[in-house]
Amino acid sequence: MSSLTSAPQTEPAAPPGGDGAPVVQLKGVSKTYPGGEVPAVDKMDLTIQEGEFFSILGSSGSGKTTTLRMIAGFEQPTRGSVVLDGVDATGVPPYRRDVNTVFQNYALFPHMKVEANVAYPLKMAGTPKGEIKPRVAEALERVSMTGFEKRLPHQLSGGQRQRVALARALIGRPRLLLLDEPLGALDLKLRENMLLVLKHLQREVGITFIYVTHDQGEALAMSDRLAVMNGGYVEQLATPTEIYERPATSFVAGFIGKSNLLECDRTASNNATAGKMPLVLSETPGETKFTLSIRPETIVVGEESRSLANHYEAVVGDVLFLGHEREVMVDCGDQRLILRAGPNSYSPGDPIEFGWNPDNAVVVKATGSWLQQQQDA
Amino acid sequence: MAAAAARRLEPITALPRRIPSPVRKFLILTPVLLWILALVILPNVFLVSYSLWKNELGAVAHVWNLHNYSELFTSHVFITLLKRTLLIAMISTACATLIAYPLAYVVVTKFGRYKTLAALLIIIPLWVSYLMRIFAWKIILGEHGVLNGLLESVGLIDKPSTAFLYSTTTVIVTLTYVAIPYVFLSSYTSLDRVPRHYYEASADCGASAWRTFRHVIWPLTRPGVAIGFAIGFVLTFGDYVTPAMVGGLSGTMLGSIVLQSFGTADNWPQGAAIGVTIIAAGLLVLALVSVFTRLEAEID
Repeated sequence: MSSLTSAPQTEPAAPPGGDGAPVVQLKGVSKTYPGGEVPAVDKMDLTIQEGEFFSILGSSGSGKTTTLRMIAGFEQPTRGSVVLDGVDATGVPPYRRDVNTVFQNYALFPHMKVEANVAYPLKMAGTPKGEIKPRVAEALERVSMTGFEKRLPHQLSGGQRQRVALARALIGRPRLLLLDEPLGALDLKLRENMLLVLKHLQREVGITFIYVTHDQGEALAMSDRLAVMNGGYVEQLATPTEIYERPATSFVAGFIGKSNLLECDRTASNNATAGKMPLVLSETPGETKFTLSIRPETIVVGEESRSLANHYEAVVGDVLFLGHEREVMVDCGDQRLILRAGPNSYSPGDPIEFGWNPDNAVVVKATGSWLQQQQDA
Repeated sequence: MAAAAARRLEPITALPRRIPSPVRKFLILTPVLLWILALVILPNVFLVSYSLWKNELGAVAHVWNLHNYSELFTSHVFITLLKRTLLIAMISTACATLIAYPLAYVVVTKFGRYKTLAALLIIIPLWVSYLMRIFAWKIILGEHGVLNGLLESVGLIDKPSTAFLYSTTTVIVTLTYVAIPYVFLSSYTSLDRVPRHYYEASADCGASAWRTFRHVIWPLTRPGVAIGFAIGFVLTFGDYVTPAMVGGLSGTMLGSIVLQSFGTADNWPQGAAIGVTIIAAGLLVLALVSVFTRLEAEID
């Protein structure tokens, strides 16, 4: 087992999305809750590597928390198996798994002082008394909570409780740390701060993190790889850059950041129309009807756009002032698009010209079919 | 300028504040105070007064003295009864707790969405008249009762036994039964208040179900159990119906002689003195129990 303190020496630096031994493998895992008809998680296959910061991103009801709870052992899959460290752990109770969880509501024991809460996993593991105290001190120092040993949880703020929960989850030096929307209850400033703490901590201890969130910003900022879930399925599993730049499905394109989704009909191998808008494509889509995703920030606004293969003139609809930029909605034929106007100011009704490089438009699949395709392959 | 600014700031400190006057506070509290006065303080003042007055051939003489108490505590019969009553109440409440708390634990942790129904079924006996419930035990334990019939038909005994009824054990069994719903209710409430994620967090930290119970669930629910125990104790300690119906001579408790003193013996001061003793014993137990209602926050 790796040591919290000596992690940098004993373990190689975590390779982002590296190819070490898989810490977690989900094999065809499905979960249907008693009384439920639609599975919360459906035929899920997932492999998570040693030292990875892996995120599961999805809206509520997407099955992300169920997936996490099956890895922790709080829920048993209806079908399929959960493999931890190469050993089939399906049916193994949570307390026998080398996995720790940071709960959304912290779940600190209210009758124990901070030090007792943090020492709890060690006490349960039968760690010698003399060893417990220094390790508690060390764990609290790691999360900058030294000096709070004698406080009770209710005497701490939300952010402080979160740190204590983190210290408690890490003190047993687990192979795997699960974080269930750990920052959900914190305010924005604290959340940003805790993001850095978490990221730093993960690099330092080299433990595999599985981070469940509905916040796409958190997931993109933190992860080596992330899985986007929707309706019990994984819509896409890739690095944050890939997910942002090459969304696989219309759901991913819409869920992560903003995107213009155009319903297109293919007219030639590299040409299509979206309603009345003619389009030039960089690739030949497999089907005659498809969806095209174009990120607003890849659309060039103004005279520079004239040299691009896709160039349009339109009328400004609405303008949203967002502080660092202006978001302009334009009506182009029968399509409505969102553009980033940068410093240029536009008013509703102004003429506007814009365009994009065909390379920046991505053909995305209809929701859900990405997984189907992976399974068929 | 500075002086002007200072003057402009002045009125802020002088803003009219709405201070609730003592009269207002008193008016709000009046109904509660009246209630406490009429139903708690006055009756107890009367009780204590009676216990300090003198009995003269059935009539109450308003002479202040401690005679009733000195008589009680020098009486061999009273001391025996006091000890027995304490013992019976302690044992039956302890038994009730040992049954009701695990029952509540199982109901809360294993019954899922049927736990409310299960809890309701357990406390439903409370809706049946107290007297009926005690009488049912008479039917079960009596000479021609259910238990004797069962043992006879199985062949464990030859002829009906009279040993089951009219003894200290009978009283303990019956009072245990009486106390169970109360201890259960209190235990159930406190167990039900422990959120699911404490069990999960403890399991996540490597604790088995037993150690989760010992280190997390028990410390958090102990106050509820203590309160349930206190209610059960107070109920059983002052009871006179059960001893009268199933206790016989060896099952007589303090409550029975309170009834006698106020009734047939027509000695109200002495009855009051016994009553005060019962209350004092109850308060003593409550004080002991309150030590256990404190949430501990320790690390060893």
